[in-house]
Amino acid sequence: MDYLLLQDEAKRENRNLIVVFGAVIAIVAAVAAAVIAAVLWATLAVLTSFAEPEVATDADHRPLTEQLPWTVAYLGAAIFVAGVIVWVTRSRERSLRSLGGSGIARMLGGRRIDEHSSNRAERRFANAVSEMAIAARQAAPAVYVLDREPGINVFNAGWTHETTAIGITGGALAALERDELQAVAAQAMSHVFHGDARLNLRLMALVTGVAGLAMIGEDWIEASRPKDHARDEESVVLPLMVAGGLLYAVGWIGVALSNAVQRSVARRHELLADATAVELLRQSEPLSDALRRVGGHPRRGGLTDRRARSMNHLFMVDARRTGRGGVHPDLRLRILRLDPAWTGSWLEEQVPDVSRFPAPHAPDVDARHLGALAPSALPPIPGLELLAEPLGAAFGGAATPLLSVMAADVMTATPVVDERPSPEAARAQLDQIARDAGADPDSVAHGRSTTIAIAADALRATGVGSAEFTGVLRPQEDLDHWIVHRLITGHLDGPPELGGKRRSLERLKSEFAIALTMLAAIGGGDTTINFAVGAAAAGFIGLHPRSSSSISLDRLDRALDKLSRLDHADARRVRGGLEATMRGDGQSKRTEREFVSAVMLALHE
Amino acid sequence: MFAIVTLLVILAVVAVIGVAVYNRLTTLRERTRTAFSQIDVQLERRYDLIPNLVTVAQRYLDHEQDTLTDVIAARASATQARIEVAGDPANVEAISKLGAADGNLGTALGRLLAVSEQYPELKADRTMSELTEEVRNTENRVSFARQAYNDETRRYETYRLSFPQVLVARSTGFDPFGYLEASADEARERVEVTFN
Repeated sequence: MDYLLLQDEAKRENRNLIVVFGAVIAIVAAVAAAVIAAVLWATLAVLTSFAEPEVATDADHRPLTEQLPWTVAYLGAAIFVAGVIVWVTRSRERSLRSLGGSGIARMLGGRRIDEHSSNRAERRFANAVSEMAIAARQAAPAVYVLDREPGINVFNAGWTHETTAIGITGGALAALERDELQAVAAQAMSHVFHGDARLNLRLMALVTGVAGLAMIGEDWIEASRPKDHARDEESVVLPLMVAGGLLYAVGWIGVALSNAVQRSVARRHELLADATAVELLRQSEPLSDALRRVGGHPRRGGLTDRRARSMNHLFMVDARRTGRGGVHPDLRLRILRLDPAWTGSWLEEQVPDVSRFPAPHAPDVDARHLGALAPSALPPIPGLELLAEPLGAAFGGAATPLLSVMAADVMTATPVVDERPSPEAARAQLDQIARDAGADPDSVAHGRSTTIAIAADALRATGVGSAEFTGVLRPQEDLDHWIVHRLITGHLDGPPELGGKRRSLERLKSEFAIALTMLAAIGGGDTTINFAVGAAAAGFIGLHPRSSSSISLDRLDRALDKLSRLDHADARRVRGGLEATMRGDGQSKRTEREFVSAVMLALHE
Repeated sequence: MFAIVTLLVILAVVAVIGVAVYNRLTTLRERTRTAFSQIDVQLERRYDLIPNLVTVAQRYLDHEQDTLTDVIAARASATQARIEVAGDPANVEAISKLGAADGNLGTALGRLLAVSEQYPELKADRTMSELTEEVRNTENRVSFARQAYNDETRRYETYRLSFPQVLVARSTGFDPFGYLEASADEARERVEVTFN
């Protein structure tokens, strides 16, 4: 594959399409201006012909239409149309830029990972991204994983190189080999290298600008509804309705045309990114294998989250499972460009043979009523009674039945279940689950946050939401149950909604102080000094701790709700401050670590 | 008068072009130096990782002392070559030596990882497993840093040797940079290491 030739071809086609896009916008704006000017001028002509001479002419007896030449009317209309497009475009750009790559990644349900992750697959992908960043001579972007997505896909988001984030689905982490992970990381980095995200966002914003004309047309139609006006206003209403209708039509035709061109540009970007990825890797097989694996996967690149599907243009392959059309080139075309000798075969997903294991016994209880169940009422899940004791010691009485079923769900979902496990076998199975999830087995039974993280996926699959736990845990009104509740809701609740105003940490000093005071109190020792250490680490000098006795759990909840509006950079400052306080006395207790985990989950970090 | 004005205009145009070429050469040279310093960062990371790897492997590889010795010796040579380069990619001979020494180290590491596959206890060692991923990551980082440096060097050399840039380059002291080529041994004996 001559990647340089393919790059040149893709860049040339891209330039041509950008010119076409600009021409479409210009034509739409010109036509819209002509429509407005024509209606205005025609209205004047009608008024002139029907009005009294002293109204319809000036002192020199010239008609109104002569005072307002067509060119002046057109120029005025053109300035108005250009102003609308520019204003709407800039507003849309600002709202898209405010999120940043990490904000978009979290909005899509992403969880940040790094090179030191305990999960081997995550670590490999984070390493692959850093390797490709070196090859592309770019700073390594933030890396995220969409745990809940079973398809194979990768995305990149962010307005600038500095704010870019790259993410991968859980399905891709599980399915791709290391060199294929490297290839998809290279493909994502190629988009960063070419600044595709910035161009895409600008094009999207311009499309919205053109849509602004249609919205104004709609407003004029609404304003000209006959029943709202007196009879003598019909001479003004009618032109308004005509202008509004024409502007509405022109606007939406413009949107359709510019969308079509923008989709073409996006498809060219993907082909250019494929060619650049091959340049970075100096080989095409890993990327072609990765795309073949996408094609062979039952879900392909399809995503389950509706918001993620609406950001389809950010992903490497079509997120809507159709595999063709839209903003992505056909998958087969992409593979053939990388490997002209491809025979059309996909790389199928390897499904493990579980027939040699006993069929698992599925719980026959409606998970939504778990909160009302006593342990004795739970179904006879193999090994459940063996889990009750260690989980009861770790989680407290009220949460035991719920979390026992969570852990049992995990066990029945794996092929290593034994029908009648011995205590040692049950423990070994739980340890195996922990290892498969990349966690330290020793931490599972004694680390609640790890156990909850492992079991959360199984719990989501049963349809149980955080509300079921809220009813059981929140009435307990003690910090220990509050932490468990926060850890569970942090893993089960969805990502924040798109948009909304971000707050700076400087304006949320008081809320930060509440969280830091609580942590310093949990740690014991000299609370004032530990608080000051954490405040200084977060960049606050002179910030005073609150009285820990005055901090209720509700107040803590309200503080975390406000802190969840922080952007990624300020959330990192909060983490830095909390960790400094935790280590202030030279040791970190389990409760302290869990509290920090609970706070950072609330901040979506 | 007309001739003088014409001459002045020509001189002004030449001066503007000369300044633009000089600035572009400076930009490309600095990017090449930056790319070279990135290699240095990755090499240091790699050299720091090797003692840990050898320490863990030594517990299990009683009969493979030659392999371990080769790795240690290759690391020492590469470290020395890196010192001799002293951050100056214009030292073409030193760059070439560094490329060869680094290539030999890559070969020795690959042999060590391949040998360790035959020792199940070593493979199962958790630290070794993590170190193997770190080594693979570091090898890739070095390789891609080298590739990025060679790409920048190619851009710089292509521009420097083109006309009329070559005239400005020679008169203002823009020296050539050397490429970091893989050694012949590395090309022949590249070892693919995978752990099942």
